[in-house]
Amino acid sequence: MSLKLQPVRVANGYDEEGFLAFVDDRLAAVLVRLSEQHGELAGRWFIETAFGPLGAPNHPTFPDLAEAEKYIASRWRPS
Amino acid sequence: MDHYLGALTDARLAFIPHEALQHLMQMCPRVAKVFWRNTLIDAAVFREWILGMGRRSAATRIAHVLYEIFVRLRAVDPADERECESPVTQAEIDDAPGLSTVHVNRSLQELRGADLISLSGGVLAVLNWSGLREAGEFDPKHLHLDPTEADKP
Repeated sequence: MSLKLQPVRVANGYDEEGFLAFVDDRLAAVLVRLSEQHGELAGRWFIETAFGPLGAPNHPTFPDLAEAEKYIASRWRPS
Repeated sequence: MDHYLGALTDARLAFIPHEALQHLMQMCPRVAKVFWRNTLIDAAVFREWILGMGRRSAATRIAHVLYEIFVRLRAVDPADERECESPVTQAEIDDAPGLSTVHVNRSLQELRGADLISLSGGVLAVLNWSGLREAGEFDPKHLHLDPTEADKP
């Protein structure tokens, strides 16, 4: 399994800095960095939306991209 | 039971046996009607939640919850001043409409940005009563309250 991140701006109106996460060259998730308005969560990474095995809501937030990658890899089941 | 109940503030609880309740309802049909009405209201609230989870945006759901809190508070104390010391923590607001903390943060920002509410130091205030009701797609009829009472400016 290969996991690649590609920087992207996300027009969600709140937290624009983001990355597209590709698993085996297929888009698996969109990560965004939480802005200052999120208080103690500011700076953490959030799964804005996700696909396939990551499709269920309520993912945690992550202190850095490495942790987010680990999480995505651990949840991914090849279809 | 298939669910649990939690008190947000200090509360005194009493347990009344079913037998005593049934006896009371036989003696006082008006009490039975009140219980029946309460069941209808519960069902209406559940329909609102189902609709909210399936069809409404995060901001709409949050506006709905906040508006409902105020409508219920005003039903108890009509002299209320459109602001209240928020009895719920943000984690509890998150849990109610099934949203993440991130979506609740954004929704609160959106509602504040639209000058519908203010929230500082644990005090939640409604700045635009009809605006919040519209934002939450809230129909006071489902709580069986007089709509003119529920929407008093």
